[in-house]
Amino acid sequence: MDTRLPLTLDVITSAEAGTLPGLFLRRCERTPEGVAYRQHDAASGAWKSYRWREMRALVARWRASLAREGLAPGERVAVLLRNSVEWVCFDQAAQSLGLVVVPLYTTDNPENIAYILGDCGARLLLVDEVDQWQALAPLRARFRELSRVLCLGRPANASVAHGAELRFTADWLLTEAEPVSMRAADPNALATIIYTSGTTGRPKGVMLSHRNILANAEAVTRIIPAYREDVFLSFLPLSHAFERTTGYYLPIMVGSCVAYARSIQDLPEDLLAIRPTVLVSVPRIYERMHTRLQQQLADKGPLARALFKWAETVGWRRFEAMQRRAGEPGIGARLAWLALRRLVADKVMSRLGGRLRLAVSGGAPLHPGISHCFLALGLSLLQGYGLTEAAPVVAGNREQDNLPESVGAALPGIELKIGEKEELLVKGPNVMLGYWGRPEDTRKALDAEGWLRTGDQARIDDRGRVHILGRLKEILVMSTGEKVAPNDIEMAITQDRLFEQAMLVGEGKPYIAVLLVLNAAAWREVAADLALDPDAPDSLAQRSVRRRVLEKLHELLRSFPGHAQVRTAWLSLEPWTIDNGLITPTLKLKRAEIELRFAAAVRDLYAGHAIPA
Amino acid sequence: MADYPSQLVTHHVLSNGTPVTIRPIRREDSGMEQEFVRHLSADSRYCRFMGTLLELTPKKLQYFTEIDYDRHMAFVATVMQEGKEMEIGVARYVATEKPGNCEFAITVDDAWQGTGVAGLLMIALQEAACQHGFGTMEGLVLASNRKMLKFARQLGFKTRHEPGEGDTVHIELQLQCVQARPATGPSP
Repeated sequence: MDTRLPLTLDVITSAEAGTLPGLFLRRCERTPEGVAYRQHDAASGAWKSYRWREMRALVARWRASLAREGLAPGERVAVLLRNSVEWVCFDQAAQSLGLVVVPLYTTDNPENIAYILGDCGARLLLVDEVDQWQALAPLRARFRELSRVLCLGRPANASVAHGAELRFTADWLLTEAEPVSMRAADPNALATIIYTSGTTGRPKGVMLSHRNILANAEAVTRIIPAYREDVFLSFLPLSHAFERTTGYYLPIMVGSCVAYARSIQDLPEDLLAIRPTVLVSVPRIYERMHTRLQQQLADKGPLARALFKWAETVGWRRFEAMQRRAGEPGIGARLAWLALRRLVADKVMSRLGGRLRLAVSGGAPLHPGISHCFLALGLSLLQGYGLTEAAPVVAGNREQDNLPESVGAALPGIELKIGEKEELLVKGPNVMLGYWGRPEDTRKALDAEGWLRTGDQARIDDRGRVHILGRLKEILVMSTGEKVAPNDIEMAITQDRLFEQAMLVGEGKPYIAVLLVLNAAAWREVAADLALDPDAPDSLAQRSVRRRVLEKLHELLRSFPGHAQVRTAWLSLEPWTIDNGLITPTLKLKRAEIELRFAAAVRDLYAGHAIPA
Repeated sequence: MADYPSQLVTHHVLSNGTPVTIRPIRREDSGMEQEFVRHLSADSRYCRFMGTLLELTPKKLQYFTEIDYDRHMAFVATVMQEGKEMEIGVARYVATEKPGNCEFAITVDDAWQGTGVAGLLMIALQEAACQHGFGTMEGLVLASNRKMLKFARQLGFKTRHEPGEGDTVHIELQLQCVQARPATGPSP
């Protein structure tokens, strides 16, 4: 790996920046010729680079165009775009006008998006494609304050009907604009509202100020330095606080380049094209890389597999020695590593582009088997911990003190303490202003002294490292970092009489699945409706039945966010009872036993998404 | 149905000063028990049943209130509110397939947690289990229910969380029944 490039540390402090647009302008002034972004251009099939100087001019055009909409500072504007240079332009332009940016997930369902647009009273919405707006339009009554919809792409069919409120950016965006200059603005003003799925009920809007985000980005740079020469590959959505702060504002702070990956599917190719030096992601991505590695190994001979195993063992000992948790490896082991590194480790690293010096994981617990594998192969994989309400990073492992079982120590400037019921409490300049329009929820989350309740239970070890023990509330954390409360979803599902018993699975998995026991009488009606024999053993496995069930689930979970949608279900007619050992004599559902008994079914539900044991 | 063991009715005062009655459940309590379950927070209900229910079905309600006071025993904790008896907690054991073993469950209304009522219920329940010849009391707790796990550890339960058991923890206590004490409280 050619990681021996000279590295330039050039941090714009939060005090120098003042606000997020202030940060951007300072960066453009400081390194105008540096490459700020790289984005794939589908038309030419090439990666296009944008220098800071060019970005400044682009943002000025967006700003001037947006200014014509006549919105007042403090009003909300929403963005429903895939990660892109346009996302950055819109965000910077809006914030420089004092507007509050509300990011939305492109994967979210229209119901949920409509709710958020209504809740924050968004005045303007930017979408990628007309289809996105057409899915929302029928729900128009729920977000009455919206007066303008901007669309980035041209419809394939020009005759698509749309109201006067819809404009295409190709027409809307001014071609010329005066460059923007610095303006004094309040660092404590509201910069963005990021909706979190939370765990119960409707999503809540987390209000973050410029200072919240700047302080957090700066604190991260102090434990994990990044440099002007770094290249970040961005694929976690910018609507996620983790990507927003560490994959977007932080690179501006240090002058790094960010490349926008085309899609998760294209990631292997994009890694080779961009050759990133830094990756910021949720465990899901590292799992995918690991799975791919395992598949490639499986295709090779036993010798390759044995070599890989050996490299993992020797590499892990080497890592532990570097962390001063084990003695120096002997001369034999060191010689073996020299060979194994060339035969195994370098080959793996070359698939990641060959110059990756740092990978950060957050948002959900990273499976130890996966972190051990990458650490052993010499990739510096650091796990951290955070939550949107903390803008979002709270703690993180350092390269020189990396204990993968922990989430690392607090960032500088952040205080931690353990409250009642072992709950982790956080205080610092990064802690949110509150929840949008929910003073009651804000009071519950933030006490009078400014301590934020995380809802996670933790232990802090003698070196200040945080170990997450569990959660106060029963929650499934998916490998994408998203959380769902099985309680709420199971409750919603069993409202329907077809579903007598339901158990959600999905901890550490990429999506939610459900095990269902159907009500016998209701099943007979469904079977009759679909012209199936209700008593035939294979009727439940029919495609038409699965479709019907998923439709029903979709209907029942309509008000839940996209990630909480059940993607697949396993059906049975045999109730879980005391007699078959799936309910205890005091009528508790034996969740672990159910998962065990139907393990094969659960495996099928996640076919192709294996995680190492 | 078995005779009501009225000798097991006891009276106490909670840490917040409220008088409380601990007594075996009876058939007539079904309305009060249903009200109790409905009134629990969704989280507490989930912790108790490890699954979702809004209220008990008639069959479950009958199972919970019409018991034999031997293989299945349940105590309710009640307080008087506006002249009406109100259930604030319930603890029960039911014999399992394994001879000498019973499984227990306890639930306290959200507003009454931390008043000491759970301890009173568990004392009554363990004594009854001893007197009916049970040597081991076991239970299943959600791993996220740390309050319950802490309480169980204070009572001497051993916890066992086996890999692959996911989000539940198995707890177990060898009952100290060497000398069966007579039930406390007023005699019938």
